[in-house]
Amino acid sequence: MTETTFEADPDSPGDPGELLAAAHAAKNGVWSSTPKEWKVFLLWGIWVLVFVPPFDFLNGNLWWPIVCVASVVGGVVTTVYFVSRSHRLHWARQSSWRNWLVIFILYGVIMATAAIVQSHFRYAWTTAALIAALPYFATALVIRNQERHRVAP
Amino acid sequence: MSHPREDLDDLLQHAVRLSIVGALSAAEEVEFGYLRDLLSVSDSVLSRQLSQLEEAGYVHVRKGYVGKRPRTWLSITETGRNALARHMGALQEIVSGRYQFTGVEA
Repeated sequence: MTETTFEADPDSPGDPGELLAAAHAAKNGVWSSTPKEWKVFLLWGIWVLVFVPPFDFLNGNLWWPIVCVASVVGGVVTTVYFVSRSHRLHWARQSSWRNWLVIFILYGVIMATAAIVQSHFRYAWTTAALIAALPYFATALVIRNQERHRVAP
Repeated sequence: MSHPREDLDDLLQHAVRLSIVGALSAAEEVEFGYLRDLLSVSDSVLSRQLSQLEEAGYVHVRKGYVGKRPRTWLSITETGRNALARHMGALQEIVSGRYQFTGVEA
């Protein structure tokens, strides 16, 4: 965490350069403690690319439990990440629950389609993973751009 | 052309108060203890500066709870955000030296 210390009397006007530096340090200190939502979306996109394509190459009955465990672990880590950072800070949320819902529904539809066509199409799961990961990456990109233009004093 | 010092905000001419609003500009709400630790100031110093900022309408103070623990949440108001932007812009111009010697924009 970035800390700004004040040795001098806080009621005395400061040098403009020092004042600017102090304000930026304080802002960056808070900013570094807020959760980065774009990273969460990015990691879930990568999760999809890692865990879905193996259904084309491995026995589904063996791989399915691993995917279930990875889903639960990912969900828990995501929740802990957000909750642990909200005890002392409330950040301006960049995404709403609607984003998550829409992406989750899309993911479900794409996976259901892959399950239906897998017997006719050799790389159904790999293709599904590539398509399903796109909304995650697109959302991460949009949020990242929003953050760049955010609250610049 | 006016000198950028005319855009400086008297209340934000002090490091702690400017750092408070700077910190609050990066989040929706910040907890009192977190801000105190971040700025390395005592409770009393932070309270005193916050009172002045609240009086000027730059900061909003909200009492709340996390579980059963009372917490004080601080946020910057629209007035505070505008004042901060104006003040930081003026400081930036002064530091960049465009007005330092000639008194006119370079």
